[in-house]
Amino acid sequence: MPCRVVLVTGLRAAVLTGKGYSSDGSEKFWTVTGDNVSAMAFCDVDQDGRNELLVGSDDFDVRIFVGEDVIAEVPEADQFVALAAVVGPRFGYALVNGTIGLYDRLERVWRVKSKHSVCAIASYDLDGDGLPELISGWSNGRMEVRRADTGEVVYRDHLSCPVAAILRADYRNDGMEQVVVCGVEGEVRGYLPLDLEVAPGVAAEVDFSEQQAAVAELAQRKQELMYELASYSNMRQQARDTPTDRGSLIPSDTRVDSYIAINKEAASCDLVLRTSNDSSVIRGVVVFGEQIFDEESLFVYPKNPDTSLAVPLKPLKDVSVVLMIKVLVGGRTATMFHVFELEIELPKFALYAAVDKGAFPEPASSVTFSVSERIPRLCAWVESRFNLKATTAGRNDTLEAYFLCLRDKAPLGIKAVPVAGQVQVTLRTDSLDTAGELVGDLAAYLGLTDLSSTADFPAAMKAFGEVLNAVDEHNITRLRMNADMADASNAAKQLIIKAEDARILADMKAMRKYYRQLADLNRDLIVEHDKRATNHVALLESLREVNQMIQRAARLRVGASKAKVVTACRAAIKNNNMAALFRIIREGDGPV
Amino acid sequence: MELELFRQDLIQTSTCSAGTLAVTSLVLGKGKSQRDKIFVAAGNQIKGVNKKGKEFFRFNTQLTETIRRVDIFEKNIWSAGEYVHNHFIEGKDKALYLCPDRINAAEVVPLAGPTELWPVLACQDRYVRLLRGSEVCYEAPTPAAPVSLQYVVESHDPQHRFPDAKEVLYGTDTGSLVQLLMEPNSARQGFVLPNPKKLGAVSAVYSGIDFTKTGLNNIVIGREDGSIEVLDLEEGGQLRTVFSTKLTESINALDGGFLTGLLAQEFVLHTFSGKVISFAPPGGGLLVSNPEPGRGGLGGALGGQRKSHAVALPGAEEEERRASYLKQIDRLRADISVLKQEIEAERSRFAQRGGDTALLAMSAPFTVQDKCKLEADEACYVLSIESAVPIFTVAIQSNAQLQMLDVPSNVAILSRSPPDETNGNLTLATYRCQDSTNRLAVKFKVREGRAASLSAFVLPAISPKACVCVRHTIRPLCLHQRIQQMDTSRPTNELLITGSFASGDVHAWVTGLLPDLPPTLPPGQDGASYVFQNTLLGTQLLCRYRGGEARFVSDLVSTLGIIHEHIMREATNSKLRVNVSFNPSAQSLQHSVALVWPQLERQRALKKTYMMLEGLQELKMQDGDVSYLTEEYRTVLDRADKIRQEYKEQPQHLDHLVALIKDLYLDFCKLSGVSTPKQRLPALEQLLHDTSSSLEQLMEFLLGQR
Repeated sequence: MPCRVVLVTGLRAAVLTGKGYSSDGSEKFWTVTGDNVSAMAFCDVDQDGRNELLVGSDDFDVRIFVGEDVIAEVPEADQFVALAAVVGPRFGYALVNGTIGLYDRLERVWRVKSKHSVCAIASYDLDGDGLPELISGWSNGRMEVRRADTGEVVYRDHLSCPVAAILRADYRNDGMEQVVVCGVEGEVRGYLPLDLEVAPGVAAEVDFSEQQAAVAELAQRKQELMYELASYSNMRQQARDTPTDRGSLIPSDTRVDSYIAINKEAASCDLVLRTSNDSSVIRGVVVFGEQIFDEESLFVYPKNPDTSLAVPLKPLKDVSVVLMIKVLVGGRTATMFHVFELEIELPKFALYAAVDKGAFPEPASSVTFSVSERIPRLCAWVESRFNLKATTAGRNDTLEAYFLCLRDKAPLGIKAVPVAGQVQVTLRTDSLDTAGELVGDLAAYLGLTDLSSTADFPAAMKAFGEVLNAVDEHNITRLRMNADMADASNAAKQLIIKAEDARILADMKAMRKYYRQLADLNRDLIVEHDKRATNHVALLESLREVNQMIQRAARLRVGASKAKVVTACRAAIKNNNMAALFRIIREGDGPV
Repeated sequence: MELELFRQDLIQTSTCSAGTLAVTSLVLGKGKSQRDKIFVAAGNQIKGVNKKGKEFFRFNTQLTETIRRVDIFEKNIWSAGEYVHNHFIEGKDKALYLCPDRINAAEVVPLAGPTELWPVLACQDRYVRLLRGSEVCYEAPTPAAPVSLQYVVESHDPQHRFPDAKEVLYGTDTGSLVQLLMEPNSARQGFVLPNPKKLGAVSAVYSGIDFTKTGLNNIVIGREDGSIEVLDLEEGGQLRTVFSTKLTESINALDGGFLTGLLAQEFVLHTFSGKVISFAPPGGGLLVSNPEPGRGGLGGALGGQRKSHAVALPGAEEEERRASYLKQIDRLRADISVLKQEIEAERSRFAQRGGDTALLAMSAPFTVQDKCKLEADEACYVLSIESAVPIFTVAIQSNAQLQMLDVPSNVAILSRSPPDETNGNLTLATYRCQDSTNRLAVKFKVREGRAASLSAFVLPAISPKACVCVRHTIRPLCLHQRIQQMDTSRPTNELLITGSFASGDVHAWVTGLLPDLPPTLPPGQDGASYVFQNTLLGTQLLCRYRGGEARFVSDLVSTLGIIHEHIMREATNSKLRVNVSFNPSAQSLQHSVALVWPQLERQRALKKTYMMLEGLQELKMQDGDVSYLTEEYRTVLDRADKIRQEYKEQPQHLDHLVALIKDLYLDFCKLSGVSTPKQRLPALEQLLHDTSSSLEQLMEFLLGQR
């Protein structure tokens, strides 16, 4: 039976592309994903008996591939460090911001964050309970083993230096696998799974400290409950005694309302918080949210506390996040504050301000597609994704809405007109990325599995044409320089032989001459190499842009249409058929 | 660990109910017939309670301060407040002593015979004072502010060199422990336990049990960061740690005795949130709770039997211990389920009555213990916060730029918010705690110069949700630390301020400038004199002032510049006219730089060798034999690990020192009226980084043409 080994690489150099190779070196698989690929793993996420390919990329998404089709996308909060299959449909992940966690199919089971950064993850059944754990290695040298089902730490160790990698192998050739953890400074530690029968004494001792810990934990829990109970009884007593420091108390019916408002001057969307009465003021707000702050939270502390407070939010990309808000509310002279806990969802396109038609020139580029849906459904989508209060402007049978992105002041127009029993949607924007984001989100909202579209982006296509030209130029330069290089290296070889001959013949004068020539040649070679290297970097950069373009074009479509764009573009590039490439990007289809 | 001790969580005190005053001190009587009487102090009252729990004695001291420590011996009562120490006999004032600084701890020691007890005070101004009546017999200087004090009946004096001396152990806020052998006329310092690992302040000391069977009682210390150590005094007078462990909250008190059984003595501690935990040697610490009525669960009858068991079957005790733990877990689980039901009932009752959640939150303000302390070795501040309930987040706000540093023991995730200058917040940050955490340390660097404030908002993880805010002032000269003596050999600059101000005014100005000073002048004094050391630069400052005149002497001009600025502003605010004469000296600049120079030289040499190390090691790997290298390089290779370690510990240090000399230069130019040529700074930086430059070259540069 022929053995097929498929090697999958996510190349940083040929960024955005994933390639598969078989054992004979031929390419078996090619696709693009959202951004630079930083982590990959095989895991049978859908439990169909065949492994899927998980790809974590720098746009914070894990994409799950079956062949060239993306069957699911899992958004996360940061760039990926690693992905690791754990057991069955479970896989672990590690992020640049110090988070590790575990998914079961597409549901996150648990996650933890640390102030250190995670270097490597792996999975192995170290505690001998028959279920593999998630093992993580950290920048401070810590190595942690966490249970897959709860995230609870079952074992911990410390290396003297940051962890470089975690591997598992039968390293000692004794038929038993070990987990091997390597540090960046060369420290290597091996771990064997815990075998309860081999070391009963050890187990007994562990047992003991566990009980002590259990007692301590229960005691702590009891104390917390007693605290809560005490607050009730204290309150009863105080209600009788009439409290003296009413100053720090706020009326019992105080509420805190929150909404999101566009602030055009500051180019931000503001989270506005307001208390329901005059005697309670907001002393401060702590907002937790992923991906919208430099770090994980924002603390706002006004100089003069008032009954309302605006927290400016400037999300760096279009994401829908749930904000966890802690509002400190107290009387005007209070030293103690009541904590109001709120949650509010920031709409995905919150930073787009609604504008009147004609307030800004309409973008020249657009993407158009047809969906078999009713207009009100599309209106509902716009309302839920954009920060809109009122029903979208327009008559009943058409939808017309105009926005301005406060981030880069780019206008956006959304238009839906019923055409022949379907609704034709036109998104006018100059940015392919924005268009792709909108198409993807709309398709997900409407539950579409396939969507093809026509893209008309003259400016972007012109720029793309230049990129393609640049690729050609760099390629030509590369070939020419390679030929020069071959000549020069032949000359170098000859010079060495001549010089060595002269040395054996003790003709020092000739030898010196040849070596001098060799040194000159060497210098030239180095200069040539620098040029080549520069050219190579430029080439890679251009190739990256080409791949990005394919990805952008693909994102204007959904499902099978999307996959078709990728394969068609790839074929067009291989055949160097630029005209076809342009048409594929525009029409979503073309000769393959 | 050489000593095996078993932890046992005993009971929980409930939170103090509203309306009653907190008990601040609890002791047993020291008189012969009083040994079974409990005396407690709350507010300014002292109460006596007998074995049956009946109050038999009550005394209102009429003091304005809260009593922090009380001692009773027959008809004598000693009470220590924040600044006042009193002695009462039969309820009548006998003696009063007003302390120049805060009293952190107090004891009474039988120095002149078994019935003649003299008070000993541990004071914030770094003295342990012995009192006789209202007079101070003598003051023993301490290396740092003493925060705990314990009279030890059986002295740790194995050679019996001082048979008449009484031993007192005190713990300091820098974490060291010192033995003081006191006699009526003098005190001698005995052993010292240093604190190289920078553990927390020693908050409690106890010595009364000989766990290690060496004939001398072990010393148990409890620290503010929750660590506990059991020490053994060796023949040579060296202390050795025989047991150590760490709790998650600070330790407030320590004692010992027969607690859970009659077989072995154990020590017991009380933590900040009210937990009582005992540590017992093997054979003790077994809570066998089949309480017969009237026996109080002490299980005394079981004692004899158990002993024979333990001898016969070595595994028996383990079995029993396990059973005891299991029983305890069961009991706790039962308690918790009862509590849960009660809370559920309360909740529904509360909801029915349309309860006031705000009132609920405010009615159970959890206690937060916090401390903002200068870490002298690193010239940075550590704000430690401990809360009675688990912390969800601590939000930090300051109007000064604080550089937040990492604390290795912290698991909280720091998240900085961008500075918000329109609201005057130059530092905004949150620390989010993940697991159940009650403690948090926030470490930061701050520059001297301006007064600033720091607020920390503690948000609890459990309901009801109230938020407690703690505030601290950062004084303009916040990096200065009190010392006892001025080094007179240094060249100094002087700032003299005269005018029609009272001694109280100038004291208020100085306390606004410098940390660690009493809020008012010591009674009966018109002036004061304090010496400080700059923890960052090692420069010194002498403040000597009285009504109408204040003199500040320092070897660092910038310190005087800050004082000048501050006092001028304060005086203008209170509409007082002051005259200033300022006298800077070039020599002092030279001196200040020379003080930093060795450090700088060492750091940059270290950096150089560190950078070289990699290359050298590669040579060694390739060639194997490196005998061709010079002696210098070979030693570098031999010391590779050590160099790496050193470099790792202080990677920022060099940059910091360079910045410091640059600042010094700028300050000097500013204060001596030279227009600062900022364009010379890059050259200065290069000179400082260049490993071949010498101190002379630097001096020439600093004092050269400007």
